[in-house]
Amino acid sequence: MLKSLGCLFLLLSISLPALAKGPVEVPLGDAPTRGADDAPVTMIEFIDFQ
Amino acid sequence: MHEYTGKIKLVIKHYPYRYRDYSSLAAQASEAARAQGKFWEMHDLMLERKQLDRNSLLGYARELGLDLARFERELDTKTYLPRVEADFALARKLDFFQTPTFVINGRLLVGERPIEMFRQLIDQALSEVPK
Repeated sequence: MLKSLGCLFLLLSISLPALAKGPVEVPLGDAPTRGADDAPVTMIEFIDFQ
Repeated sequence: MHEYTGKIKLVIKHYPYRYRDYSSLAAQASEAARAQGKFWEMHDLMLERKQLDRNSLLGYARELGLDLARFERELDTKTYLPRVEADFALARKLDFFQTPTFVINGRLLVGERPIEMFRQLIDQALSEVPK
């Protein structure tokens, strides 16, 4: 019983933070940009040219 | 996507997959072009032509009227490799596993998706912006 409770706790502690994950924050740094700097929407593309 | 002019800022981060031949070289070439003010021109050429070996990249640089000696030197001495690797490390840290991966006002869109999905996410993001 205790063992299964322990397992449950472990599972929850791993999965809950993942579920609660909010918006993805990406530091922009001095990455190349196109479009208006004050645009309300920022679309970041992680690109592989190949 | 012209209907969104003025509403979207596109930001590029490099995520060159290690197991591909020319990914990293192409990313570095785009940065070398950027150093001469021609990032987007090089970006567009590479996506259009798809040939990314060293000679093709030099050809694009010539076509764009870049200082070829400088471009070649910066490519060969890997001047922009640290910048590209920093982006790569960021993508790894964020657990991204595919390219392209898009982040639209904090929301993830993974892989090549139909334009409608972009519209939907962009419209949603626009509707959430405080007026």
